[in-house]
Amino acid sequence: MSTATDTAGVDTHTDHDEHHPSDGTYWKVGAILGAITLAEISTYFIADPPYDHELAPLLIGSLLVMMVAKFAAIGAYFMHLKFDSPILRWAFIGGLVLAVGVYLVVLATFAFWDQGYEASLALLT
Amino acid sequence: MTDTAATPTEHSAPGPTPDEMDGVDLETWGMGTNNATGVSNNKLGMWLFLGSDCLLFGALISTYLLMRHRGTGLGPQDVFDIPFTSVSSFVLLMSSMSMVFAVSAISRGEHQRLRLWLLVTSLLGATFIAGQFYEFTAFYNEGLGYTTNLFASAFYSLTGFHGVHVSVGIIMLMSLFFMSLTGRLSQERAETVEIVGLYWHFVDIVWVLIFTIVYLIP
Repeated sequence: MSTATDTAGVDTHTDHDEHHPSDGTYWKVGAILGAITLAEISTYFIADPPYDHELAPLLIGSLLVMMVAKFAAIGAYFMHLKFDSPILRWAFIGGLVLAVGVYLVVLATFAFWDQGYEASLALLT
Repeated sequence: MTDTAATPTEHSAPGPTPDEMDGVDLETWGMGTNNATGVSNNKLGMWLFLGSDCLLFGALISTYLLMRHRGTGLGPQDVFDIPFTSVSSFVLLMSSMSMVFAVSAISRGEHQRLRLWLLVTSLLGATFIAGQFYEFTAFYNEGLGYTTNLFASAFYSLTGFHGVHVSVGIIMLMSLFFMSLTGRLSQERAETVEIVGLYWHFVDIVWVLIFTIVYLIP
């Protein structure tokens, strides 16, 4: 948090400071995150591994949704992205989107040319 | 951005003129708030670092996803102890909560409470690292060394890098704790705690991804 001192007639105010959540909100978000984590862990007791179970699409889908929900809640509330300047949000989201995009392409590339990869690996060994 | 090389007559960029900046102490002026963006430079720098760190972990997670079923020998299903890792994950999640209370405490000028929450966060982080050390030792004793197969190399690299991040976070937290103890962390420097907090939460959200992708959907 930066100070809001108005020195030399300059508006140095960063407008997020007053809008950070209260401790009560942090407790609520923490409780929700804890509950989601318990729900995630419960899937292990339903099916391990989840992809061998008849409910595999539901289990894996819900695990991914819960993962994204936790990620978003921590980013929005604990890291104050919901309340801070949009420039910070975009600095992070930019990196995140770039990372996800680049590595999806990498993963797709390996999947498409997997046969070639295996063949070249066999040649090397 | 203010052009620092410009003379007062040439000054046309938004923000204060060099004359207006005379005698301004940047340390008490939001530690270098950029007037064009209204955002602290330090904070923006940390966010850009975190954005770039996404690429590092993206590379490690992608490598793991590609390598986990290649090679022979022990695989994820043979070694993972989900109940144990679940407890570790919960501990790290709770450390994120204690970190927000530390940031909240210094913004109110409650230094004793700040030190308490910093200590709690460090201890929870250390517990997580101890759990990871135990897990690595157990895997090694089961025959999964770093070079046993591609899964092992990718797994140890990914979780090891994350562990290093947590360890660096603990060092930063303890530095803040001792700075506060010696009176060098005033309420005006609350942003420093917030920036360390951002790093800590980032380490936590990376684990949220690792826990699901690596452990729960092996």
